Amino acid sequence: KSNTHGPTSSKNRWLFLSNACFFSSPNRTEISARIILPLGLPSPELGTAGAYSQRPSSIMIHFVCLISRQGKVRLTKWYSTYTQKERSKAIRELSGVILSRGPKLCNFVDWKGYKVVYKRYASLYFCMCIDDEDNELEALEVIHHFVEILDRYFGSVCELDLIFNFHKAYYILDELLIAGELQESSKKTVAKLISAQDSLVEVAKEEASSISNIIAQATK
Amino acid sequence: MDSLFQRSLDDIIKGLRHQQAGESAFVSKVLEEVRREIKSTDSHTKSTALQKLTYLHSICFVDMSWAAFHAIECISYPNFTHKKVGYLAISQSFQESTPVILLISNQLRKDLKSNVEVEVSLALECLSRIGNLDLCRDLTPEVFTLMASSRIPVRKKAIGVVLRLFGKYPDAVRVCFKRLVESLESSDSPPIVSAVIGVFCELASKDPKAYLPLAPEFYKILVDSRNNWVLIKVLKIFTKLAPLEPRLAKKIVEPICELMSKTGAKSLMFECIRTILTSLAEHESAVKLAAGRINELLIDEDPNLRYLGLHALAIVAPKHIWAVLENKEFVIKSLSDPDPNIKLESLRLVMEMVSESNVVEICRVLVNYATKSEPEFCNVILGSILSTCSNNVYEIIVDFDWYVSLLGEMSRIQHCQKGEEIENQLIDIGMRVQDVRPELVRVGRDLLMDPALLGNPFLHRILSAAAWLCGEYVEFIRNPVELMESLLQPRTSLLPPSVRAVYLESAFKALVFCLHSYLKSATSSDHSALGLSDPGVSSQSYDEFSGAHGENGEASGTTLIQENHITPDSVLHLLNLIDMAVGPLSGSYDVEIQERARNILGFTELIKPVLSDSLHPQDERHKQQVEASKMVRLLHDTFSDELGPVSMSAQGRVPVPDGLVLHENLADLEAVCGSSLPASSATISFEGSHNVEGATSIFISDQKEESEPSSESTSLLAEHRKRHGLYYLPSEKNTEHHEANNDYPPANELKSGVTVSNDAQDLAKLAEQSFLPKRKSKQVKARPVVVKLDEGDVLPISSKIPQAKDDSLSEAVRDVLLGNEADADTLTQKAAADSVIRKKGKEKLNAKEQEDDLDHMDSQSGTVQNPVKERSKRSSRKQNADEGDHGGDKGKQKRRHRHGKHRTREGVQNPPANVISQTPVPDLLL
Repeated sequence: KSNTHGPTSSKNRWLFLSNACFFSSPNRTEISARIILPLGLPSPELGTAGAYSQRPSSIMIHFVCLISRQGKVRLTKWYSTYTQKERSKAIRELSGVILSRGPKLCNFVDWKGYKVVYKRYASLYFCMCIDDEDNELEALEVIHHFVEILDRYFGSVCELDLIFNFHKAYYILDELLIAGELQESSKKTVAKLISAQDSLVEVAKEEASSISNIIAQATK
Repeated sequence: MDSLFQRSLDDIIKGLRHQQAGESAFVSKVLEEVRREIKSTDSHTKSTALQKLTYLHSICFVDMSWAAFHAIECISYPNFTHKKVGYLAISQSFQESTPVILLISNQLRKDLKSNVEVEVSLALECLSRIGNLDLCRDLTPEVFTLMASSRIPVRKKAIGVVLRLFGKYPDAVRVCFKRLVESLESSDSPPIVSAVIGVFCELASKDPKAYLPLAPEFYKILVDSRNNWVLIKVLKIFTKLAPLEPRLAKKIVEPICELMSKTGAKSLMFECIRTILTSLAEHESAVKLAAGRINELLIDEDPNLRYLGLHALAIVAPKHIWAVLENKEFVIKSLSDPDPNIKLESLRLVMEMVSESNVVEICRVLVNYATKSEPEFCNVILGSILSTCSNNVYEIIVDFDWYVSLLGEMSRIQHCQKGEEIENQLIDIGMRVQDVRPELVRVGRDLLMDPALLGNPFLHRILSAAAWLCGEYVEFIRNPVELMESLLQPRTSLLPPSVRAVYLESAFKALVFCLHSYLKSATSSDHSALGLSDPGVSSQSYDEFSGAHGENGEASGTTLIQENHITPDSVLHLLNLIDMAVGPLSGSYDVEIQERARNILGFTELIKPVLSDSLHPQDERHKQQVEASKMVRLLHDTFSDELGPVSMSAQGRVPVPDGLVLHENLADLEAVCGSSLPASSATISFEGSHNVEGATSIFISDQKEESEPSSESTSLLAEHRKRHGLYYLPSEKNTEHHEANNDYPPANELKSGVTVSNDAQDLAKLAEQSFLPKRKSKQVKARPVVVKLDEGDVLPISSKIPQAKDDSLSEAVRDVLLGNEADADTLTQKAAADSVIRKKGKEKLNAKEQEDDLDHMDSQSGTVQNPVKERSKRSSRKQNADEGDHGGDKGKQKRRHRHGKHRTREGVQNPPANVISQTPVPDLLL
């Protein structure tokens, strides 16, 4: 089956990035998406609208989520307070709205007084919920920035990378955003910080798997 | 050694992908495992279990609040991998109310002080996600230290966390704010500036006034920075600040315009446009420039830019409608854009452009357009037409006849779901605009006549309004008999009880009107025919009545009656109709229907004997007629009183009569009510036993499907006839008539061949015709009088003035900025900070603020001298802003409340909150 292979096997590359900086080229509004991953899973049932508790709007990004074309959630990160129930409802509703939108429409959706900015990269929708007054294009750029960093890190990233390395995607996102704000606009810096983390993880792993450690564990 | 047999995260992910249907079963199995494994003492086993749980939590939305303590255990492990897993779990799953959250405090502090940069980052990130009041208070000193860290990534994150600290624990401002401001100037490291500006942008969006003194720093960044992310944020800050200080607006307008024309990044350009349109709208030339940029956006092929272009037009529309008019063709064309967002936005703009001179054309095109749109958008269009036209008591409507027929047309649109709104407007117009009543009645009649409409539940409200109008203004009806027939047609059984009750009441009014005009014409013909010397009581009183009834009703009423004479036959027919259609309703379960039906029946029974004699010429008919006409006249007078709109505050203006002390005199009301309630409920509770049979039959027929309404009514009729056969006149054909009419066309079919030309044509035509600045050469009709009430007519628009939500935060910021709080570095003095502010030598934030500060000292002393004046000034300003004195009161109360709170916090100190309204921007800047 094509959808069960691991991240290391031959994967469908879906993101092709040019090197041009987003800001420097004015006409750059989309990135060519090449191949669409087949993932033969049905989308979940869509719920209806409901009221959400009021929350002060003191941050730019309220949440980030990645949804596959089939409605599967790939990543969610919440910067405003949402209960678990609200979270799953929000995602259900949004995936219903966003997935049903055609390809040539604009990338913004009004949602409960907020704006959800989304962008589709091959089979994956990157969504970001921002305040009504915030800059939609800026949010699109944040999304794009995130995708570029992912691409750089995984080396031509695909959906499977994010599925099997879900925690890594979170750590990368954490280097990009903090408290709902963009904290690092340099791709290079993020890459550097992530690799520093990775090397630390490697060291920790080696320690843990060293023979002396295993013996110590076993004889405890 | 159980870690050897533990499933890894990869296993779970793969397993989940293999599941086609039984996903939830798989998840619950994994959860079971996790519950077992997470209790393990082995750190690796535990953290793997936690990682799996986190995965399920964020992907499948599984509850993991029960594992909170295990997550805390994980972050205390020395092994970085485990720590990382723990932190991820915490920042994903903890809420402020998580019970064990305080246990995390020590571990966070330890990690914040760690030498390993990545560990500090993890802790900061975690704090930024879950920090609550206690955590923020406890960890403020550590974050403060990190804000001066030599490691840029750490410093940057610490600054990001400050936003959370301020939000949850406003007193953190006293500690961290100065360092935050200093960071603004660290132009050597762009990431830091970027982070600080992000924080200020969010802070300023809540309470911009407090940050006005920092304008020079922001201005410097606006001019110097080349980083688009930063520039966007600075622009956002200025959007908030500029309206507060006109001199500042003048200063920034030029650099922003320059930025707008130079930049190649659309996001930055759009932010410039938005800043100019929202905050610098008085600067004509800048707006012109921005409008030029909007035009570029509109013609772009990227739908995002087109949408934003329209959005920008919507921002500018209230102040500079010319910018919208310039692009009218595009706006109209966008109505047929495939993107619903763009459609909505352009609809909004179209409505902005509506004016007295073009409202007719625009509405016609929009209604045509609505008939072809999908249901949802159709209703959006109808809704916006309705709200625009009714705005400010139908301000833009000149030709009400047209508008009323438009309302009728809208009701017939297939997807129309705006019944309630149309109902309200029909009745409202009927009461307010006297001249339009004949047209209203005509429209209402057309709606009532169409049996197909009864089948559409969305139209019931409109039909109710139509019925009410036709009953209330029945004197304008050409053929009241026909109206009666449509009000009592069998398919009215499809209506909900409340609407049906309105139908009955209207039928009653129409009946009275018919009899009245019949008797009147009968007497007048008598006079002419018999040449009675004595005019007789009846005709005399009728003349009197006509005089009293008001010119309008009288004039048209009499002419109409002359046009179609009501013959004895038609009266007979009406009475039969009533018996047949209303009779069965006297046993209805709905109280309203039952009561009204009985009223009508009671009246007809009273009038029938006297009237039936008069219908057959006899000698003593005159006497009878007088009696009948007395009764009819009585009721007619009752119904012919003019109803007008009632002011919202009417109740309040009723003076309390002398000697009535509401509290005392009505005190025993409760006792009275208490005793009378059971009695009244007993009387309500339904008719006597004699009707039980009829009632049950209705009940049974209610159970049936509505597909056979006529058979239901015939059976009821038969039932009724059996019991009250005495009152039935020998006429059988009407019942048959019912059955024949059973097959109605489906509701809302466009009957007439209204051939709607295609979109493009319509739109193009509209674009040509309307929006031209030309006014219609001459209005055919003068605008009729629209009754408006002095005040309180329009619903008070709840324009809430945004109150700074977190007063405490704003106050803290003001304290720091204006009071130049010193010694913030010394954490130990933090508690005593308040008292220190004014004692210690002042350390200026920067040289520029020195002058600024002097100003504050002045204003502060001013406040001390005359705080009362200051406050009253403030509240009066509030009053102006609010609508009505009601809001003003509220504002005042709030202000007082806030004031009081402040006092308690600040002790005897001079509350700097009062100073703020006078905060000047340093002159150096301007």
